[in-house]
Formats: sequence, C-alpha cells, structure tokens
Amino acid sequence: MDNDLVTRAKDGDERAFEMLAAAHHPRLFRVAYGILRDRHLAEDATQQGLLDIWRHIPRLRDTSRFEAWSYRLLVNACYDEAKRRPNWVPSADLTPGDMPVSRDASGPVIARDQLSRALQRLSLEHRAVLVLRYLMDLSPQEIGDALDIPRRTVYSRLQRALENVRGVLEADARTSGRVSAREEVTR
Amino acid sequence: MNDERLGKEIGAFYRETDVRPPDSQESARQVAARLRRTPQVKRRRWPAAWWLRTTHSTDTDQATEHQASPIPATNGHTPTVIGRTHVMFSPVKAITAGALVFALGGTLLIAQPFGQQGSVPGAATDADDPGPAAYVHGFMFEGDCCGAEVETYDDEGNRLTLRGSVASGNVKMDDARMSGAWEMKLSIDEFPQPGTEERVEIHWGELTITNDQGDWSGAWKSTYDSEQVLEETELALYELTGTGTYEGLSALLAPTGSAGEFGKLPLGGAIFPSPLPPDSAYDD
Repeated sequence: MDNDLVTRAKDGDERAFEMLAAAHHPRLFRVAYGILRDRHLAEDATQQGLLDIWRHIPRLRDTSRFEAWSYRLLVNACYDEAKRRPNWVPSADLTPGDMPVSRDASGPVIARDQLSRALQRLSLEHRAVLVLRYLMDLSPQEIGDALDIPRRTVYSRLQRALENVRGVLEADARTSGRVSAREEVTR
Repeated sequence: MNDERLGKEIGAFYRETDVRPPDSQESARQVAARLRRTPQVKRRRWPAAWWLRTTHSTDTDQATEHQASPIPATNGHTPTVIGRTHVMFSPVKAITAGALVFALGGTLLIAQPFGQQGSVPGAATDADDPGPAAYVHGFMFEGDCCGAEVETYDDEGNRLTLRGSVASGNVKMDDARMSGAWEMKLSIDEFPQPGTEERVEIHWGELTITNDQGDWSGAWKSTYDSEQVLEETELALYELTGTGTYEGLSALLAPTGSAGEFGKLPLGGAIFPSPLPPDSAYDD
C-alpha cells in the first residue's frame, strides 16, 4: 500500500500524498518532538518536513526506502525550525500538558528532570541520533542510511552525545550532592 | 553507568515523555492544502553522483516566491525563478555511464613521442617533462554541494533551468597527476518531450582538479541515455587542460560506472601530451 502511494505521489498525485502524509505523520511528529521538545515547533517541523518530502519525492529511486529517506528530510526540517527561532529554548520541564504514553516498568534510575536538562544541552545533531537510536530503535546502520552519513559518523555522534549527557549528569550530581546518583553514572 | 544502560534510560525517558501527536488526518489536510503552491523537483541526473552530507536546507516557503529578473527560458515559457541555497538530495547511488568511453579510443594517443620510459605512472623523467601519455582510472569521491543554485520553473512546476550549482570533493586516480581535489560547476537546461513525461536534460559546466603539482581544468557537457541502454546512463566527457607541472598535457575523462552506495564514481580516461582535439574532425 505504501509503495503504491509513494509511486503515485512521485507522479504528482496530491491525494495519494495526503494519504501518505496522514499515515506517516505520527512517526515523523514523534521524532520531531523528540528532537525539539516543543509541541508547536515539532508540528511545524513535521509539516515542513512533509512539504519537503512532497517536493523531492520524484527523486526517490527506491520506493521501499521511503521511511528511511523521510527521516532525513524531517530531521533537516527540525534543524531549520530551530534555527528560525534564535530565542528558542526547549522546555526542560515536564508540563501538565505532556501526557506520558508509557512508563518504564523497572523504574527510573536517573531523575527525569536531570535527564531532561542533560538532553537539552545537546546539539540538534546529537539529539537526532539519540532519538533515532533510542526512541525509534534504529540500528546505527539504519541511522546512517536515514541521515545519509557514514556509519562511523553515527557511532561518533552517539558516543559523543552519551558522553555529554553523562558529563551533565555528573556535574548535576556534584552540584546537588547526590552521592548515589554520582556512583550510578560514574563508569 | 555504561553506554548501554544510559541509552536504555534515555529511551525510557523519550517514551515516558512522548506526547500524543496532533490529529494526523487534519495535519495531512493542512499539508495537502499547500501542495499546489509547492512545486515538485523533478528527477535530476548528476554527471557526478555526489551526495549532500550533513548540510541542510535553509529553504522556507520562498519556494513559491518570485525573484527579480527571471532568467529567460528557451522554450517560450515564462519561468518562475527560485533562488536559494539548495539541499542536494542524494539519489540512490546508481548512476551508470560509460557509453562515451568508446569515443575516447578514437582520439587518444598511446605513443610516447618524447622517448620516455614511463614505467611508473605519473613519473616525469626531468623537471620540464610533465610525464608520459597514459590511460588513467580511479574514483571521484563524494563532496560538498551545491552552492547558491538558482532554478526556474514553468507554470506546471517543471524545472526549466538550473544555474550556479557548485560541488567539490576528492579524486584519486591510479596516475598521481590526476589525483587531488575537484570542483565542478553545473548548469542544466530541461526541455519537454511532447507526448511524454520525460524531459530532455542537457548539462554542462567546468571541472577543475588541483594538486600540489598543478591543475587540470576545462569544460564538460553531458546528456542522458534515458532507459535506452542502462537506466540512468549519463553521457559525460570532461575535457581538461593541464597547467603548472602539467603544462602541455591534456586529458579526457568520463564516468565509467555507477557510484554505488559509498559515493565512489569510477572514472576512466587518458592523459596525452598535446592540446585537446579540435572541434572539427579535419584540420583546416
């Protein structure tokens, strides 16, 4: 079904693209929100990403790669949205409007507000690989294909992102005097 | 906490703080309402299949805004000019070329008129000798793209022209004289074919290869063998003249295959110690 819609959209079928957009919007929004941590910005980025997909879909050779290819355009749209808002600072707090969809049954080891602040400090490129890896469960190879970057770059960004998160958590732990948290995060 | 454990914590955080997305049908309708003002970019065949990596678009809705002084089109249409820093999306790396390789054989010199041994490709026998004639093979590697491109479109969203595209990267040939950094300038004209959706594309531009010993530069032209022999067959010929240490040499290069998944476009051609062949088959 998807391949047929993609093929028709490549030929300029607007109705087919609308159906494709509706089907993939939740996935794309999820990634955009993961990166931008702002609902309105994520919706804008998702819509812009879909428009970019429409513009460039005639160039997509292999329709079966649509999903991976769409990540690239969506992530680029997230970068652009963030750059258009020079004063944008993603929300570090869980607001009453946020509605948790699921909860880790084992319970958190790291306080969620600490983790939120740590993730907030990351660059957009680092956030993107973390979201694709740990929210969308893509392998490093799949992330490389999606973002059109070498796998070694994916590994490098993942490693650097995790190091940065760990560094902020350790600094936070020292500041707050939480010895147990420091013991948890120290390698 | 090791990376694996930290990664799981991060994943759990993302899932816990996931928010319900907006109504996808409504969002899709809003996007669909803007499609008519958003022209599709038709399939582009690059003479060298370079890939845009980690750069991203600064496009906004300017895609539908008119710029001043539209570039006159060659087919009578009044164009819509779109100027922006353009994201060059990587197609599946399957551009296959090589039909022009056969044309090289009729114009290349194989003899070594200066009596050089030439046992080591690229080796010059003295300071003034730019080196022997030689067949060369190697790869053009992906680089950066595309500069401040300006495109024009017809009223139906079909591209008419592209100007101002610049890409760069590295080239490694089995002859060190032709290895180094490359930069390519690209222009495109597109023409409709009545009765078909396929458009005739004509590409042209300039290629420069630079290394510590000198430069190669020159013009190139190409078109497209659409579905006649091999899909996505690009017919391109780069005609280069040497400077610096390579003064007195010329070269003809052409893509000889697909760039594949890793951005390596195979090139083949020859270096020879004379000016480029004249445009006419016969000397006047």
